[in-house]
Amino acid sequence: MESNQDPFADEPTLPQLPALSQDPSGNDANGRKRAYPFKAAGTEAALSSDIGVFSSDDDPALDNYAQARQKRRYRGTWYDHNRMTSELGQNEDDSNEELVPETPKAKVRNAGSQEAGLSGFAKMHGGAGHPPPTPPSSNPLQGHTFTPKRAFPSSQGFSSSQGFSPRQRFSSSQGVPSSQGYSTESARKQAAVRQEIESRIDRGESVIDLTNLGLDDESISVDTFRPLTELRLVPRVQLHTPAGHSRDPLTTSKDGYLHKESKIVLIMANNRLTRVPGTLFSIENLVDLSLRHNQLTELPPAIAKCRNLRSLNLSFNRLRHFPFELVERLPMLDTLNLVGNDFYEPEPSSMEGWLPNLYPIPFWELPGFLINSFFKGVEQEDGLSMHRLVAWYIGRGAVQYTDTAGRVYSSFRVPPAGGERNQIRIQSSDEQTGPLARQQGESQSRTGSNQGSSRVPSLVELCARSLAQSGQAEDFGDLATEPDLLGAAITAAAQSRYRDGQRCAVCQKSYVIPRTQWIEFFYHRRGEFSGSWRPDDSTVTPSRDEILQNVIPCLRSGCSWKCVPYETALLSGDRVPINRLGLGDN
Amino acid sequence: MSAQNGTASTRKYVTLVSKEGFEFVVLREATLVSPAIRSMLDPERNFLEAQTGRCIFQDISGSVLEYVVQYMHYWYQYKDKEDVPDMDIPVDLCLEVLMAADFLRMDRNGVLVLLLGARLSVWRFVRDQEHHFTTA
Repeated sequence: MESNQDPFADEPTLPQLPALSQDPSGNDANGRKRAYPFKAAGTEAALSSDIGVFSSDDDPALDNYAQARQKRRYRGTWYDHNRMTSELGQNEDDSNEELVPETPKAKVRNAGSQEAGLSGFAKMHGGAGHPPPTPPSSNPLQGHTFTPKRAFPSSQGFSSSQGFSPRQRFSSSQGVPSSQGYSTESARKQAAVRQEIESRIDRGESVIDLTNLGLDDESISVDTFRPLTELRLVPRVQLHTPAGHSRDPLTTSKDGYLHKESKIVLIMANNRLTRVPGTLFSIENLVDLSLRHNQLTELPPAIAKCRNLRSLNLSFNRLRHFPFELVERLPMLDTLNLVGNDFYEPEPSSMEGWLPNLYPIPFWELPGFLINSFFKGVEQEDGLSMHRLVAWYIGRGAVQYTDTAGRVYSSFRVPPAGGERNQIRIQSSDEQTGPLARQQGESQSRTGSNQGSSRVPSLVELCARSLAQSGQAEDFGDLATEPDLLGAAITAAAQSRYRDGQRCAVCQKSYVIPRTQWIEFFYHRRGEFSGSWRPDDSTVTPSRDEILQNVIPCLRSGCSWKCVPYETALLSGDRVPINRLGLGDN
Repeated sequence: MSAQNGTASTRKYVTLVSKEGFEFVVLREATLVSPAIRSMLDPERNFLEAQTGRCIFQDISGSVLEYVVQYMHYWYQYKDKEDVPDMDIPVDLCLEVLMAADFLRMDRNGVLVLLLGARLSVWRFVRDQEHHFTTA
């Protein structure tokens, strides 16, 4: 598609073959491992520090790692780029400003698309940018003859220059056969999402409604919500709060000014998402999130970062468990809707006798932003009290031990998502199950190196961490199909990045590959925060049915086989302590 | 190469050799993290490696083996500790270190491993074939 000839040469009907040094006939039917003529274009050569995939790689296509080459200037996705060049080739005379690939720098918003160090073939698949002075490729199909095999959404997302409209672009080129629909379809959706978000931002609205767009996992990338995280609305100052309104400490300062805070409401109901990226919860001002009627199977633990979230609707999904980080912060939520999920349940027989007495909670355990309204006494006339969502610990199931390749070494297995079985027996606290040895031939004493007996992360874990931190894991999506360990590690790294990090439940270290997993059950209800200790008249004892109806299961993971829940401080009936970290207490 | 067969299996250090011939002298205890090396050095099995105390890896380059060796000592130093610092592996090497870890069966638990399946070579072979196919 690229050549060193004049971009507007007379003959655009055939694609210019790239000037490959080692393979002049290089017809890259599927676009893989093609040398990139980086030195071809004569613009200013900003040298790239990109690193290669394999240090000892003798692949001639990767020769350019050793050479100085240009940073790519074009930002955006490869399919857009293709489209642009092909259209330029067809309508040379149309001076359509929007289709000129090089948009002014000031318009390029996405700071996140500058990921360095992609591998060569990952570039072709992953959709990194191309250099700007691109000659026409008149064959619009060429870019679409290969399908990205990526298992994960690109980290690149869209670099949304405001000037061009992806919808226009796609509507203006109907010639693309639908058999190539995979990439273009997901691209179209990604573009739609981005455009919706951007247009809301431009109009200064804070309600982002992505309902019924048919979004699936491919249409949401790690970077989709980045424009929102950077959004700051200028506060609108208004004197004299209307009389009679009690001062809302969230929005009103002490001198009576009403600050217009950028409260973002994000509605993504009625789509087909099975997961959401952890970066979604980096939106600091997100107050209301609705993921109703999707197909979510998990929520990222990064949800804990969302400290202004007040309302969360997760009804009618396929959630089997809940991130513990949110259980710790239930009191900050005003509403939580969990109806219609396929949660794990405790085996009723195994929770015999768990009928706790729920006492009022001292008010100073409230999140700081609620203390003011607590003293207002708005919720109850008699005495100071306030009801917020609180969780109590019921118990946990057995522990599943896995190695880094995902093989299970215990009799207990966490039931898979979508499976039939969802009841889990609660273990008594003194019941312990260790990992089973896979083969009986080797005794534990002789191995001496039993990885499970140590807190040292495995070498695979270290590599996967390194991959996840580099942000390149998605680009190795091709390799994720490798059997066994390599693929498992890459998959885990990409997943960890998609979730935006995860921490060990026991030692709080961030990890990539979970080695132990178990389910913990919590009972949640509106608990009373009270200024006075009145155990007699406000003690509540829920019935067993009520407990079963309000169970929240959490899948908790440890980073080594020593990270097991046996020493956790929570006992059955304990209230989950409120994690105030990052809650914005003041 | 030492030919002191009687003592090689009991010596405190073993030598790991990369494909370019770089030699790393490692504590025998530390190599136990790899079941593959452990079985190579098992005196009862009487491999050549066990007799000489040298393990030669035709598939692992020196730069990769360096990190593997570093990890072995890292593991040896912290295996009984509660607070383990992180060890960094450079991004450009981590795929290869991953494959070396797979090859050395680094965290298989109690699985008997013989060095028969040279998956690394197979993988490389497949990759090269793929490359020839796509550029030809």
